Amino acid sequence: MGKIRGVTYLTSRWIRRQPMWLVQDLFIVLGFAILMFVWGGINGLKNVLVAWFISGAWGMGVNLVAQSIGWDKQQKIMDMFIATPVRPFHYVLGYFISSLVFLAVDFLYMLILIIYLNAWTIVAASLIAVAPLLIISNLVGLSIVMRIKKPTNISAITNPLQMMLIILPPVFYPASVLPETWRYFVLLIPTAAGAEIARQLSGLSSWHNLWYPVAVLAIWVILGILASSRVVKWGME
Amino acid sequence: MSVVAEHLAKKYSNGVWGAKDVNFSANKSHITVLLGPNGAGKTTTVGMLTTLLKPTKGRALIEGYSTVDDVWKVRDLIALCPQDVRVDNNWSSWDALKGYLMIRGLSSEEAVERSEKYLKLLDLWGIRNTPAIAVSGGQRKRIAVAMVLASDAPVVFLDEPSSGLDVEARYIVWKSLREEAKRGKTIILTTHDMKEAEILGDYVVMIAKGKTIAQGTPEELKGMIPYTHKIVVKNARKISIKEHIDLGDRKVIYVRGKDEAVELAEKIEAASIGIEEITLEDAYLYLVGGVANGEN
Repeated sequence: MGKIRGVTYLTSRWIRRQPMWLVQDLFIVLGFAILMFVWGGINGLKNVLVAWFISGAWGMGVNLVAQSIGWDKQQKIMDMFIATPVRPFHYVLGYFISSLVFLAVDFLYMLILIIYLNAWTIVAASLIAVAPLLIISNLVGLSIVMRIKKPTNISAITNPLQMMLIILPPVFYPASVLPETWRYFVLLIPTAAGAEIARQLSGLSSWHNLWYPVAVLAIWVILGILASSRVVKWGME
Repeated sequence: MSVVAEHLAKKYSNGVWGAKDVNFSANKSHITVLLGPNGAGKTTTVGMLTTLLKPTKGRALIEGYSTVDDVWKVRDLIALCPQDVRVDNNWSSWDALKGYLMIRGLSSEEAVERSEKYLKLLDLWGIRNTPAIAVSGGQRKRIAVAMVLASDAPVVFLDEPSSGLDVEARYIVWKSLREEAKRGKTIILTTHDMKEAEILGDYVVMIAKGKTIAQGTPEELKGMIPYTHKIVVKNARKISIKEHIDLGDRKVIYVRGKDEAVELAEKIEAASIGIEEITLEDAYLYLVGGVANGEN
């Protein structure tokens, strides 16, 4: 436990040095909530709740945990950590816990909305979808950053990837607005599949086909494990 | 023996051999220096000893544990300051030491106590709360050195710990390394700085082209070459000795005794002539020259 605390302590130092990131996050959450309310009313607000859980989970893996670990590798901090009693489990979990700050802060910002809308079913449904998505985003993120040789490419690749898979596919909007044949195609994207699971479980989707997004996420978990197992190594290379 | 390397070799996936045949052993309470030019195989050797790399051939033992078969046990016993390590921009030296010590299993209270001691030892106390992004490159390097020295690991590896440090900072690091060795730690460091190896090392392992070419105390290594002195001649007007190293307006002549040096010096006409005892650098040049000429 002490080792995980140590990793969490080190990897959470940015909060003290750069707290403005959290303030910036508040404005993004608030901005999207206003935008969705203006165009979609109460239903828009309910959809933004789903979207924030999904984008938070996706960003945490691809952007925060994987990017930070990628930097550790480039800066040789990871080599220092490998030559210690720390196990990969302590290391990744420590990073995960320190990255939870963003999700926790987002949740605090959304709490007012959740209470106002009495949207606890949406929260529960979103958390169910978030669990596999966190695993996928971490595995996919690590598979990418561990292949990157040039430090400047880390955020240059992961940042657009994170944004692209949040903004373009049906995350902030329901997949049910798309023609049925398209849905099968776009729901192959893990963020879209996660959002669709949350929407179907909370009754926000008019489409009833839960097995499909569940199967997609299951396949992504397997693909993530396969892709990361080739490159994610803790020494002994 | 605290650390043993037997015929260690590493072939990278691109087919390049990082090390071909490295052999040495290191004792407790000693500083063992891996000395060699850039690309000699020092960092690869450290990588194999610290479980970052899996040896292609040979074996390494840390306190009797194999770096391949007992990886986790070995990792409990070692600490590594890698070459070119950059502590995170957001960490202060205080954060770096405290966090690293907690990672190694120390309680928060123990980590605080030890961090204070080592920040003072490495002369970082004055900047303990300054984030790494705002300190100099040398101070950043010293933070990494302080992290590993503050650990309770009995075997500490430092890959070129003094590269990029100014003279004053280098002596601070050297002093702290000597103190840690005195406290019973096994310290293994790499360098290409002959002076550092001679001053700091209890035992020096010379590596060139991936192979150990010689090892011993600095005195033993100097005794391995057939010369005791050298004559350094500046702006020679007339020099009849054929065997000398030509450095342009400087010539270096190796001799087998001080008397021979004096006798020869009298025959040379030059702006200045100096007679010096040979150093580790001379021994290194002689011994590595053998490798370069294919004698080893």
